[in-house]
Amino acid sequence: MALLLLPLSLAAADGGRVLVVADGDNALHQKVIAAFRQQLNAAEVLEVTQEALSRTALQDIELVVSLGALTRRDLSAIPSGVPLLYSLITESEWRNIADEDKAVHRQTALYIEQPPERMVRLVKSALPDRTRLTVALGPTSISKQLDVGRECQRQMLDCVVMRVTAKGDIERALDKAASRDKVLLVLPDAQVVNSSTAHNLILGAYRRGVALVGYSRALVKAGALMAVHSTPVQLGEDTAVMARTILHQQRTSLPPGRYPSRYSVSVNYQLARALDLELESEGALQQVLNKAESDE
Amino acid sequence: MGRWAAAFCGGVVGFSMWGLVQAEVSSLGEESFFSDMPVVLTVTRLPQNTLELPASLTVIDRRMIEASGATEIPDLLRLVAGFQIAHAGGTRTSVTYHGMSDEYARRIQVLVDGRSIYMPANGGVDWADIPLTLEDIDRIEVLRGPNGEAFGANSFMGVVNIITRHAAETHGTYAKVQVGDGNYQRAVVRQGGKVGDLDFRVTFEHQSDDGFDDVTFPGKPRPYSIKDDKQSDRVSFRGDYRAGVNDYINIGFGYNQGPRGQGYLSSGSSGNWDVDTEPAFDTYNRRHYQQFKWRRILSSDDEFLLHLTHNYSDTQAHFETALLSDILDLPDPALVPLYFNGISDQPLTLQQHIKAERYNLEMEHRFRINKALRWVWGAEARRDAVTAEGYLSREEPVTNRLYRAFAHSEWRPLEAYLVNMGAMVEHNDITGTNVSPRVAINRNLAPGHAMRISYTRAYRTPAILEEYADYSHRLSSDGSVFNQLWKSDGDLKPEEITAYELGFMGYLKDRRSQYDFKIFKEEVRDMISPVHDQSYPELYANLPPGALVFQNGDWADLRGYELQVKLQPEEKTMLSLGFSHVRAEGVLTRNINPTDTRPIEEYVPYYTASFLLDHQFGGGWSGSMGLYHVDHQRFWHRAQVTTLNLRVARAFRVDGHEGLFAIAAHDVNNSYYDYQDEYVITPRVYASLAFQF
Repeated sequence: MALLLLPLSLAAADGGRVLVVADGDNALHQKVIAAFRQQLNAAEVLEVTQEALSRTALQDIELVVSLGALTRRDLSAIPSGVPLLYSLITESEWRNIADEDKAVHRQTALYIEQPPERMVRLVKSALPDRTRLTVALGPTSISKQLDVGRECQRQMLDCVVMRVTAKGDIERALDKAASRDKVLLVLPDAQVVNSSTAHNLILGAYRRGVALVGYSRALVKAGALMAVHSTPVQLGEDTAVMARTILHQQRTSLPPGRYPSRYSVSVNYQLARALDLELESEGALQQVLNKAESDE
Repeated sequence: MGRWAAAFCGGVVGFSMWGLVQAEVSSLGEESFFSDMPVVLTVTRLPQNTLELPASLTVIDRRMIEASGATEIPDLLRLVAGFQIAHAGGTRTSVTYHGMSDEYARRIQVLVDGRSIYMPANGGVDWADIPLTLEDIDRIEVLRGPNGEAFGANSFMGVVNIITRHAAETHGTYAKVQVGDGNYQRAVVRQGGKVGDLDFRVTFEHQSDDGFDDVTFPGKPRPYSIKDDKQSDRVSFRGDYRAGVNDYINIGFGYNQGPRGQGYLSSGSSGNWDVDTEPAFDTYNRRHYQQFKWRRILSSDDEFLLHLTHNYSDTQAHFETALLSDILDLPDPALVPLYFNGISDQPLTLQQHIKAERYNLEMEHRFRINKALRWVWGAEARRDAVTAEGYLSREEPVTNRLYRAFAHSEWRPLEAYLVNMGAMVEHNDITGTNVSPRVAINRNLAPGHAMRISYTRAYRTPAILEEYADYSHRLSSDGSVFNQLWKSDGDLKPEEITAYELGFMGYLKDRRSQYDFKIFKEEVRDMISPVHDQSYPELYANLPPGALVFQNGDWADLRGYELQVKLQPEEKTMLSLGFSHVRAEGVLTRNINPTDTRPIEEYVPYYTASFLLDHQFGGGWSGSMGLYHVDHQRFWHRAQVTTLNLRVARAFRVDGHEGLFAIAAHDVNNSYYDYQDEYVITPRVYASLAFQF
């Protein structure tokens, strides 16, 4: 495997040499890295593939940024003193990593998904007349149950959680949503949304007149009503902001893992018309969410 | 927040091993957020908001299909405002919109998953022989009014679009048995599943019945008995394959075969004439189709379709009459040569064998140019070939090639207005080139309510038998013509319809209750009618002259209003209403030389109404009632029909498997005829038991 070391610029105001561990052939990673570099234009950014990490000399590297999780072997190649910033991982992945490796490395993460509170606020902002929300949670996303519940309480939404653990649970969640204000929120969970369940989930929601609210642009394109999500560029920029903070705080503890602060709203307006819903523009909805978060 | 608290207290216990079984879906990687997913709600699957449609639409969904207790597809179409059906015996059903039909309704286009099943030979649809099982139907969308701009020729008075269920929705095993009066027997077995990225199902069906009951008319010594029993054995396959993130392949094929009773067992009211001229026999029908669809779906607003289909139908029918001396009630067979230039006493033959084949290739591209403008355009090529030596007096097939191109735009110049505009240019071998345009303007009146004004024009191409008919009784001895039955001189013009509509449509909260009301005027010109030419010369002097010829010239102006309502105040109760009132002016020619015309209003019912109520009582019990009324209308004999269907069903579970037991009583209030007074429909009861494993 060829080693990629691509110095972009010499260290300057942001200082330091940053090593990004990424998949050189992955278009998503390249978009994230491009935005990361642009945002962190004063640092020297090197790029290496995961396979080549163990063969890379890491002297003078002040921060390792990993796009995705690393294996134990990869981690062993990173000197214990070098801080590590994960990006493009889920919050649950981060929790697992942190438990295993927290004693060895100073590390933090930018999660790939949105905070549940933001997703609930999107429902409230886009569909203000709906007061009853149904949420489908699977084995992974069930850990967000409390966060969802708290935000629903804040938003005066009567919330019911439907657990998706077995065949038929998605239909039951859809039936429940259909009987109570016709909104179903799905959080990232491979058990709830995957290539096998997407068809029945989306078509079932449409047939029942249920507004399906999700977490990715792809889901909206496939037939969900709307989603709040971060684009690769936004994740790259957020990762750069965290990296800058770490570079400036070399001797202090790292910031905790956090959700993206940059995000987008996507709406399937064709579906909205078919469901006879009049939704604000994507920009307007985003502004509402921005304002809500800045007011907090 | 009580419910939330309860749900939370439920905690996370109970997660089963299902997640482990689904190992391939258990990890949540970055691709879960960024990889493209199959576009489920495509621009074609996601119908336009009914407020934005350029035409009136009635949707018969699965609940209505079940609640109706229908045993055949035409039964369902009675739910559509303005639709009438008639039974020319137990084997042939005619479905028409705003009347004006005989036993072969030819003015409605019928599609199954986009594949036209409009028959090239005699037009219309042979409803008893479609390789399609009721339980596989997802919904039926009926566009009321001409739609040539979107669907081409023969989408004249309306379009019936039958949409089958996606293969992903019919996984598992389904089995059903159904029995009923008239020796009705039906069995359905369906198996669906998934192999890799291919969802599939295969459905087998057997259906048979004895047809209508015999009828004894007062004062007649014998019952009037037609042979109209039938049997169908069907198999159909649907495969939905996801070839890539954006590419979807749909493969379908179906096969249907079986005998159909035809002719007369006993002539109750007219001596032996019917039995002598058309004795009872069985035709043998075979139908099959294959279709291949490729969709490239780039987004819910950008879709490309390539669709290739092949339809094949073969009706084997050939019979001989009684001896000429019996038909003519001659006291001595030796008189036959004296009457007919020396020919011997012998039976006549009628050759009704028809083989028809269609190849069709179409492409279509739907896309959005900007937020205010969406386009659909496409092209199609078709080849129909009909071999019907008896009807056409030629051994070689008659072909009709058709080419069409269309474009349609949906433009929203202002938020409250939507303009649908488009045209179809079509060329076929029979009538040349036609252009079918449409303009419709929809205006939002209030949230959930809109109005529409529209203008559209459409054409109906003559069927091959209308254009080329040359059908005769022939001598069994040498096959020469004895007397001419049908004769077409050809050069028929296409029928033309111009329609103007003012519609109001909308829905109430949650879209559970919807309405569609329209006032319309339909101008039908150059109607093609089978007309009895009373001076058509026969070869034999002692035969009275006459033959059925096909000619343009009849016309009709239809004015009226129509209402389609669906009410669902709560999930448990559903009510569907259809009502149509039509005033007709015009003429329909029955005979020429000398001419005898009838006012077209005899063929158009003033009122048509349908009412279907379905309620789920709880405990798995449900019940429904369907009431249908058609005012006086002539298909053959003039008739007025009011009929009542009832159904009760109980859903249950056995070892985790869903079951449904249902009893349906059809026409419980009376016996009646809707086509001809000898074809009497009597009350019938059906019972069914179904399981989903």
